[in-house]
Amino acid sequence: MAKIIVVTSGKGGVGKTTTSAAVATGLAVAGHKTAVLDFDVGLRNLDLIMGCERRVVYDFVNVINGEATLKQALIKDKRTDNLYILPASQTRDKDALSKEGVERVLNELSELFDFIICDSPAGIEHGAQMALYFADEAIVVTNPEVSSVRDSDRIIGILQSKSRKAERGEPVKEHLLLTRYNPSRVAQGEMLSVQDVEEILAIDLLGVIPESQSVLKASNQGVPVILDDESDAGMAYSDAVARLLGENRPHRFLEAQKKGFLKRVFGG
Amino acid sequence: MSMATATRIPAFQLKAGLHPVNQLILQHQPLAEIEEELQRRLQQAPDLFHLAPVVLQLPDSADQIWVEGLLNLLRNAKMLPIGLRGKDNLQNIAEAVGLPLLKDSRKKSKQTTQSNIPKVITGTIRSGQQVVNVEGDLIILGAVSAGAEVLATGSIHIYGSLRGRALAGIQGNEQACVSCQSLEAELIAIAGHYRISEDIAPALAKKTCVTRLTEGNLIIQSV
Repeated sequence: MAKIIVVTSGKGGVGKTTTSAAVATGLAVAGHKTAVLDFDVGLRNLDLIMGCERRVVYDFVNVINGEATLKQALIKDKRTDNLYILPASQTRDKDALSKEGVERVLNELSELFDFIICDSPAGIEHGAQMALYFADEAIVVTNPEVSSVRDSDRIIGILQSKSRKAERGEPVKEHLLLTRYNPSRVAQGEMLSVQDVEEILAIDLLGVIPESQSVLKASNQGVPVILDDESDAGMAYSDAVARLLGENRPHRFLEAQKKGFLKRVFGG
Repeated sequence: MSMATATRIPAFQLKAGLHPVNQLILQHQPLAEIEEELQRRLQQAPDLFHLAPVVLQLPDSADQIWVEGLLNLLRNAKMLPIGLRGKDNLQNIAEAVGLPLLKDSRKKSKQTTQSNIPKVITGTIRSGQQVVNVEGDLIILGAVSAGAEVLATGSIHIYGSLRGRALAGIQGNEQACVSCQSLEAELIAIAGHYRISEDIAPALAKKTCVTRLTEGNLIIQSV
């Protein structure tokens, strides 16, 4: 039986797809058979971030409708063993995700994989609810600003009331992943601190991903940022995946880097 | 025959109604003293009691002779006593003088507010969630997030931060209060009297506070 993890946030543009790609890749690199599913029907992005957009033949909705088998639709990642991508359909809308259809696909995937990562669309409507309904665990992606925190709070409420586990009276394990964190702006009081967000959301902190140029670069190149082990964002994602697997690692990149003498003189 | 019953007009209709009536609140004093007072008032305003229906609020110690004398006194002054109020032990006197002993309506409302079945919620109330207790107090062992709403007919106690809305005494219980560990509320209300975040003194922000209703004013105090 696979563990189903939804990556969700409520708010758009906070880094759900980037996180889904990074976490799925990290789990696969650690040797776990992993599938990553794009629930954002109509606004397909995961394939771009994973760099497999030119190999999409069938998609999630095709499998739900029985127009293709799961094996036909799953795209094997070229860089990482154990990693498969199920892209969303670009020409349909979220209503194509029927609860029975999603359940059938997830059951079938459960037989084949250790982890299933569900990349949720933004919002709290049908698409987002389908992405989180069957989840065992949730990664709540949040930016350190008030509107993102409030939307995350809302989605945690939905996880606790409308997911399958909640309906059965079981808890969904929630993890907080703080992304686009800029310690120097926090120090200046322009951004919420890790403590502020933790206090409001009151769930376990999985990781803090610093704001980084490397994320945009990785997205445009279609290489999950976790594979960039030179970048702090990549390292922070590696730490987060290790914690997800039960390892105890200290949080890094929480303090502003002091500029060295040469940097202060020459800039940069 | 069925036609006849269908078209028969009923002899009367029974309908409940509420009419404001003046009450005479009486102490067990000698009738002479009451008469003296009555004459004095009548001189001030001769038409004040003319054919005015009144309900007599009787002292517990009232006896039948005293009540009969009192009724004569009032009727001579052209007042129309229509009922009595007082403890249940006055029932016999009421029957003897042919007036109803009216039930104390306030007693009833007191009983409803006394039945308090508290509801205890463990964990944070998230944005968009609403928790209601229509049977009494609400106790939250956690925080109430911004955009969440907690309501109770009784008091609300929050053992965490209050960042959302808390409405206590939603059926008009003015004795209800709202307490929280850290006051960051969007809105606090008791029995319909409310205060929004903007109107809460900044000095109280993030303080442990109790909000009460005193003479129609919401008073927020840090404790």
